[in-house]
Formats: sequence, C-alpha cells, structure tokens
Amino acid sequence: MSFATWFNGTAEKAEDVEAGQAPQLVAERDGNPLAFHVNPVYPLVIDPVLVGATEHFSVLRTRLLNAHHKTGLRSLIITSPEKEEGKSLICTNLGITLGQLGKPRVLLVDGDLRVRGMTELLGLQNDRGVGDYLQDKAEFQDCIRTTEYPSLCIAPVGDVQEDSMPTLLEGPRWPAFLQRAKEEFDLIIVDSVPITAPIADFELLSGPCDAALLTVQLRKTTREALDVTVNRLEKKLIGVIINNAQAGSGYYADYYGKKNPYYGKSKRKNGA
Amino acid sequence: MATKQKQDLDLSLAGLQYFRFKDYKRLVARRKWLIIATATLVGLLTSVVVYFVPNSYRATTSILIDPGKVPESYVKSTATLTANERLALLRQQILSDTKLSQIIDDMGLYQELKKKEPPLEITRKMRDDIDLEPISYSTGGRADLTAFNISYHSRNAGTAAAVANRLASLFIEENLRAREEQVLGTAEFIDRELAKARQDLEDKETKLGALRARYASELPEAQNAHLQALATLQLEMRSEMDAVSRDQQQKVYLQSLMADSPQVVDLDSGNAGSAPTGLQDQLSRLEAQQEQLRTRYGPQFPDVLKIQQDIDRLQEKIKSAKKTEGPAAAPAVLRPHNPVIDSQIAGIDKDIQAHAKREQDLKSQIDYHQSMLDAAPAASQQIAILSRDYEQAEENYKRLQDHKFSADISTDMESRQKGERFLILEPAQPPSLPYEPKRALIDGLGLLAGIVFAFGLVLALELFDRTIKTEHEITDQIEAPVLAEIPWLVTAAKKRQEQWHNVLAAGASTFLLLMYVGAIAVSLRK
Ligand SMILES: Nc1ncnc2c1ncn2[C@@H]1O[C@H](COP(=O)(O)OP(=O)(O)O)[C@@H](O)[C@H]1O
Ligand SMILES: [Mg+2]
Repeated sequence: MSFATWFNGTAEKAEDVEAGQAPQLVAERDGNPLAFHVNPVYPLVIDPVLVGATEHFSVLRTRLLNAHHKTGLRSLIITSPEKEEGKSLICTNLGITLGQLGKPRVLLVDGDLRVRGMTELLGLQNDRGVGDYLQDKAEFQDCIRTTEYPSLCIAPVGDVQEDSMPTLLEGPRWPAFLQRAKEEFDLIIVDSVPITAPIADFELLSGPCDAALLTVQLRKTTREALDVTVNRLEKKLIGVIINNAQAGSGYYADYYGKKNPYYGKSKRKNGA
Repeated sequence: MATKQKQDLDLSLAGLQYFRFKDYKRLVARRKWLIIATATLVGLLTSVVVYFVPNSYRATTSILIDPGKVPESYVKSTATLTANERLALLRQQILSDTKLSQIIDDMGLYQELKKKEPPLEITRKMRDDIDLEPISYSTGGRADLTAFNISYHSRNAGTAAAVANRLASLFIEENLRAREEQVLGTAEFIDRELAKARQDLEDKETKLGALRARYASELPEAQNAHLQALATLQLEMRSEMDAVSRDQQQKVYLQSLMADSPQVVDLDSGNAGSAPTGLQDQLSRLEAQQEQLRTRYGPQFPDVLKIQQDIDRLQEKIKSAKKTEGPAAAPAVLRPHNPVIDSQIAGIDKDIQAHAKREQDLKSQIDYHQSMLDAAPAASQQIAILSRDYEQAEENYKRLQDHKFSADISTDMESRQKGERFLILEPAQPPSLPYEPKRALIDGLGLLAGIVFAFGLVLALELFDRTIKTEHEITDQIEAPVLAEIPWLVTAAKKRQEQWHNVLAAGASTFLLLMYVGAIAVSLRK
C-alpha cells in the first residue's frame, strides 16, 4: 500500500470502526482527570497565544486518522534522529488535538524512560506509569491517567531506577503492555528516544508498534544523523513531521498558496 | 561507498544546494543583527584607524607655459627644445640632491627625519613628496604641453604651500636662465661658424686663383699656340730628316768613289775570284748611282729604271758565278784608303750627328706640346671641382648669415622676454583640507568591506553549520511523506524574552551605528 492511500480520504470512516465501543474502565475509574494548563515554556495548543499553530496539528491529526482507518494502524511510535527535536512536544500536542476531537480513544505513552519529557511536561513525575508495569509493580489500570478529554489517556514513565533501565524493555512486558492497551484504546502513540542514541531502547520500543513517525527539526538535525536514521527506519516509517518549519516555504506551501486567509500565522525560531 | 561520497558532497555544500532565493532572504533576515553589527564594527574600526593616520596636505602651483609673443613661423626661435623636453631637463636640475638639500636647509624641512636619516634619504623623501604633472591639451592631433602643476606634500598646510611656491619660482628662474644660455650659446656658435665659413670661402678663393694661374698655358686659349708650334716643329723635323738622308747618300757616294780607286789587295788572303769581286763592285756602284738618281728624280725616272735593269743583270751574273765557283772563301777585301774622301766622309758623319741632335731636340719639343694638349682636360676638371667647392662654401656662408640674423632676433626677444616663458597661473595656497588620508573614501570602503565581510561571515557560518536547513533537503532524502510542518511555537513568556533579545540586539546595533556615525563625523573633521 502506498503512502498516499494511507493518508488521503476523510475521517468519516473512523466513526464506523468505533461504533458501539464506548470508553471503558480507565476514564470511569479515576475521579481525578488531568487538566492541561498553559505552560510558559512548553508551547501547548491550548495556549490562546498559539491559536494559529493548532491548524498544523489538525492537519497531522487528519492524516493520521486516515491512515488509522485505512490500514488499521493501531500503534504508532514517534522518534527523531537526535534528542530535543520536539518529539515530546509534538506527541503531547497531537494527543491534545486528538482528545479535542472526542474520538477515537487515544493513549499517549511516554516511552522515553530516561528523559521522560512528556511526563515532566505534564507534571506527572509522581504518577505511576509504564515503568511500573514493566517492572510488574502495578496493574495496567493503575498506570493510566485520564485527562480532561474523555477520549484521551496518558501513561507516564512512573517509578524507574537508573540501573534497571537497560533491561526494562527486554522481555515480554512491553509487548504485553501494548497488547493490553489495544484492548481499551483505538490508537496508541508512543513518545520515544532518539534513533542515533547509543541505546537499544528504540529497537525494543518500536518492535511491537505498527508504524513510526519521524520528527526532524530544521537547523537542529545534522545531515549525518538524518542519514543514519533513514537507513534504520526504512520499513516502519510512514511519515515525517518537520519541526521548526519555515512558514510559507515548506513542502505544502504551494498547496496552500501564498495569500491563503486560512494559513496560520506564527513566529519562527529566531537565531540558532 | 556511494552514500559516503554523497555525504562528503553534502558536507562541502552544507545543504546550500537546496537553497532557493527566499531561503537566502530568510537567512539574511535571521542574521540581520549580526550583519548590521559586523558591518558597523568593521566600518567603525576602519574610521578609528584612519583617524589616527596623520594628515598630509598638498599644495599646488600652476605654471602656464607662454609660447611667446612672436609666432614661431615669423621668427624661428633658437631655443629649440620643446616645452616637454625643457620641463624634463628642469626637473632633473631642480630635483637634484644639491638643489633639494639647499631648499631643505633654507626652509627647515624634515627636522625630525634629519636626526635619524642620511641626507640622501631625506632628499629622496622630498622627491617623493613633490608631484610634477604636465597638463597638455591636444590641438589639431598633437598634444601640446600648455601648463604644469607643481605640488608638494607636507604634514603642515602652510609648509606645503610655501615649498610649492618656492619650487615654482625655482622652475621659472632656471627655465629663464637655461633659455638665455641656450640662445646666447646659439648666437655665439653661429658667429664662430660664420667666421669659419668666411675663412673657408677665402681659402677656396685663393686656391682657385692659384690654380687658374698655374694652368694658364693649359687653358683653352693656349691650345692654339700649342697646335701652331707643333705644326712648325713637325715641318722642321721633316726637313731635318731629309737632310740626314741626303748626307747618308753623299756618304754612300763617297764610299763608292773610294772603291773605284786602285785597290790594295791583301795577298795573304789567298786567291780570290776576281770576277765576282769585280761584279760586286760594279753592282754597288750601279746601286749608288741609281740611289742618287732616284732621290733626285723619283723612282720612275727612265735612267733609274735602266740602271735597275743593269743591276738585275749584274746580280744574275754574280749568282751564276757564285754557283760555278762554289762556296769558296770570300775574298778578303781590304778597305780602300783615300785621305780626301775619308775627311769628306768624316765631315758628313759630323753633319749627320748634328742633324740627329737637332732632330732629338725637335722631338722633345713636339712631345712637350703634345703633352700640353693631352693634359688640358685634367686641368679644367680640377678647376671645376674647386669652383664647385667654392660655390658650396659661399652658400654655406650665406646660410649662416641668415641664421645669424634669426639668432640675433631671438637673442633680442629673449632679452626682452618675448619668447616662450613660464608664468605662475595660480600660486599655491595653504589647503584647508588634508589631501591624505582620503578619510571619506577610506571610511566608505571600510563600510563596504564590513558589509562584504558580514555577508561572508553569514555564509561561512552557514557552511560550517552541519544541520539540515530546508524542507527540500528532507523531502529529497526521505521517501515517506511530510505529514506536518510545525513552525516554531512561541509562548507568551518566550515571546517576551525574544522581544527583549530583539530590543537588546537592536539597541546594541543602534549603539554601534551611533558610535560609527560619531566616529565618521570626528574623523572627517580632522
Ligand atoms: N516547534 C517548537 N516550538 C517551540 N519550541 C519547541 C518546538 N519544538 C521543540 N521545542 C522546544 O525544544 C525543547 C525540546 O523539545 P522536546 O519535545 O523535549 O524534544 P525531544 O522530546 O525530542 O527531546 C523543548 O524546550 C521545546 O519547548
Ligand atoms: Mg522527549
């Protein structure tokens, strides 16, 4: 199946797929759903200042849901060639954007057990999470945090010791976690580690996932790192997210047209 | 292997191959503060450095070359150097070490240098500080030097003007002196030449006169005399020759007479045939007789012919007699002696000798006249050559006289300053602005260099930046589609921070710009 057929079409079919499947356990169990707040450092799409940026995430959401409906894509891992390219940021914002839609049921998993970017960004450091499940210290339900959006749940990193990390993802626990998550959620999005990092984490994390999304940040990702990434990601890669893109100059700029009134106006990163 | 090579290529281009025009525009916008700051800083540094370069003033005196009040076509000037040549000559003279060191001492120039540099080095420095620029306007195809500027560079404006004026007056003085010298020299030379030519002319004249006198006899008028003399001499010569032959006949006759007289035969000489001897005698007698007749009456005279027959017959007889006798020994005939005849013969001999001598005499005279006639053309040739020389000398003399006339006028003109001369068109004034350094120009170039350097710097930074810079570079390498292009998201707090940074950058740049403007203003004021 070609890339084009994955992402084209409408999101209507999604409702057919999920018909009759109401959110279960997780949303109803906990009475303390996570509320998203405007973060002064991390730009979240709920920030009214960033209203223009939501459009970009909506585009991403639509294309992703198309792939989900057409190919039955259930689990997706987000990675990047190097660290700090915006994986966690994009993952969180994509989750919020999907949650705002109300369906399908989406689980965000912070798979970056070392940096735990999303966990920290959402202030979930003290919550139990996927790490506890991997160490068999908690039940699946206890590792999931509901949010203000009923269709969106989050699995933070949880309590993970530095020395246990290398072996944490080995074995059947991680695939089991994903399998369990698929029972309750339609789409599982895993925030992960950089591909060029000298660790096995990405290989282990991506193993049971259906597809991978690559985040590349302009003026951040080196050419060499991208080269290595392209070689490693061949099969699972279904799309690229360009971060720090230049408004009006990108891949789809011509598609939108220069004077499109719907085209979001946003600030660019200044200086390197 | 292939990927590695591609990587190297990408590295060297640093992704700039994916740049489009708007990417460059964006790059400049992104680096605007860096560009402004760098350009301003370089400009500022340039103006500060230039500020500290000491001022050098340049004062110029313009000198007009006045071609003279009388047109050259009327009076050919004897100061023959062109203005250009004269200027070159003057430059040599005035910019000489002695002249310059004199000026240096007089005006107290290069005081600080004098302490550390040798005098020759100082004069060399002064020569460097002097500019001499000819100004020529081309008139009708050829460039005529019409004026020239003398400039002098100095740290002090007043000194620059004073030295320029001093140099100008030196040029004028020297030029005047040189011209006068040349004109006077020319007049003197022509006088000398004229005297020489006159001497030459006179020499030639006397020589010609002498030659004419010497060859008077060979001159055409003398030719006739020679011819007449030759005619008479030849006539005389003929008669002399006749006389000699007559004498010889006489002598033969006398000898024959002597043979007819009684013979004295030498008996010891043997029995000689008398017949042949007799016949022989008869023969010689006949021959003598015939000769006598022939000379007197000519060869066709009947008696001469008759005697010839006799002689022939006698000769026949002698021949036949000789045949019969055989080649017997010739009879020894003794010479007959007859004192009277002998003395007569001796007289004749004497006569013949006298004639021969006369003949000799005549011959030498004839030769003389003949040679005179032969030599006549050589003489006229010599005279012709000499006359030609004389004419040339005369012409030369006349020509020199003309020159002398011109030279006299020229000298007169020069002494009354009507010839070509140098006039100060504009005396040097102490300049109010320094000639060097050309601060405005250098400042402008500095700013330009700063701008170029800034852009170069931005480009260099871009080349050393190994990150991916454009979307095209990603789409070019990855087959998977681009699902989203997320711009840089700026929270309110970040925005404030960014604005603050911008204000700082703008402030710093403005500060630099103000400093630059101030520096320029101060530097241009110096
Ligand atoms: N598009 C963006 N706009 C604003 N800031 C960004 C953007 N992308 C990344 N960042 C910032 O970069 C830093 C690293 O982002 P993060 O998502 O933690 O990277 P990663 O998870 O890949 O290590 C964060 O401080 C984030 O706020
Ligand atoms: Mg992260």
